[in-house]
Amino acid sequence: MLKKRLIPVLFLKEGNLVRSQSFTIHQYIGDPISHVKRMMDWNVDELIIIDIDPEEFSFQKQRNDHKSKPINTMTDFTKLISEELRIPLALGGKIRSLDDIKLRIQNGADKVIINYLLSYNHTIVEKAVEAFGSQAIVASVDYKVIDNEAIVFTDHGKNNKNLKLLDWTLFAEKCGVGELFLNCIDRDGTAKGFDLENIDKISKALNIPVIACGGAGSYDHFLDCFLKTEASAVAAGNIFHFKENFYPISKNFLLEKINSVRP
Amino acid sequence: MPKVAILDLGIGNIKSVYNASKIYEDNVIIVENAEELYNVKPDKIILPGVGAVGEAIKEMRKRGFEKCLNDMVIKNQVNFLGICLGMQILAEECHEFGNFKGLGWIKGQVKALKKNNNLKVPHVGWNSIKILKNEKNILSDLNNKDFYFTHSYALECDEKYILSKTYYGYDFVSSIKYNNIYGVQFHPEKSAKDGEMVFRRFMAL
Repeated sequence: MLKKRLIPVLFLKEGNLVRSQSFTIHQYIGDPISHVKRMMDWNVDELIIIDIDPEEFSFQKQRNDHKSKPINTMTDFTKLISEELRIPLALGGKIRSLDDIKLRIQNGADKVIINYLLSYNHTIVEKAVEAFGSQAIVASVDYKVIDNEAIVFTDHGKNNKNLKLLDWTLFAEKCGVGELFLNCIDRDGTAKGFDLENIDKISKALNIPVIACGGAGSYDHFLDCFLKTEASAVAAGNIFHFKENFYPISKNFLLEKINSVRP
Repeated sequence: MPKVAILDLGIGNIKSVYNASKIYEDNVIIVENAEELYNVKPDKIILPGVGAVGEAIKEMRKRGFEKCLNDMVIKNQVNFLGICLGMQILAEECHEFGNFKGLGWIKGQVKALKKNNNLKVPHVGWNSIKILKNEKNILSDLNNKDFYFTHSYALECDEKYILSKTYYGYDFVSSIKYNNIYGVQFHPEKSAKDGEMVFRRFMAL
């Protein structure tokens, strides 16, 4: 039986792990490498890492304390962690071209998460699907609920695209992407629970797997999302950093309730 | 000293296969064409593969691997492990964005996953395997364990080749074994500890 996935998301800014709220407030948490190690100890199903830094380059601090290699760039970072990471790794952020995609895949990413390209140059998305396969391309779509209607936003939640979520996600599917990463901006960092209504609607309408993100505040929220929607995976950031051993605790809770999760 | 050759078709991330192989074997070499492969004279060959099968088959022929693999794996019985597309390529024909002729080592065809019960395609995530062969093999004791899959196509072949099946609306072929040839549809290099075990067993053949 195919298992429902529980995926931690790490948001990076200036090479640091940050907590995100409403896509605008970013609070420093710590060194991403030690957090990746913790995820490996937890035996997580998959890992998503998103570089949300608006500047072209992160990792401003010259770090020399990780083995012998300094970690200055996102590529250094990916190379280092993928050496020991024996689970799927998806990388997002600052992907503007086919070369950006290639660079990430060659350095250890199994999938790339694209958002900007879908809006501004979707033919590159189609080319990437052809070159790397649909399994390697995940479309990320951010939305806000306005007057009971889910509306797509782009550019880190800054620009209202004036498009309905359903139409835009169907367009993403048509471009050939292998998965959809659905992020509800209103719920980001609120711990109020997932936007079940829209997740359900989109996951039923699409034929590709949907990863739902935004709003996880307890393990009940993960369970709710699995029971009440057809999402193939749930993702969360903040909560895995602030609650002690929250990943294994959530997994154990889910395993008691449903058998479609990986032990 | 055993030598493991990993074939690079120039598409996708083969580093994770390299990294996982290195845990159990020091002497792992990535080769980009047949000439290099003949020089290396490996006693194990791994063909990883992600992406589109047509592109992979084209690259395999362009790099001269077809004849070389027939010499080494069929004639000289070098142990072989095909991963994902690396398994699909072994079939006679692959129907994915057109029809492509595979190596034909396994009598069978690669076809789109059957769509039923509104199941999502691609089949992405962790799914368990049901082992059908009792003899000792690289998946022994891994019955019912979860492995990471990501694919839209699957191999359809004679039962005699099938090592395990996996359920996704129906039972599809998730691994094969034929003499010295192994193929897995899942990604052992991305399947945590149980995946590492597959590499360990293959290295010990």
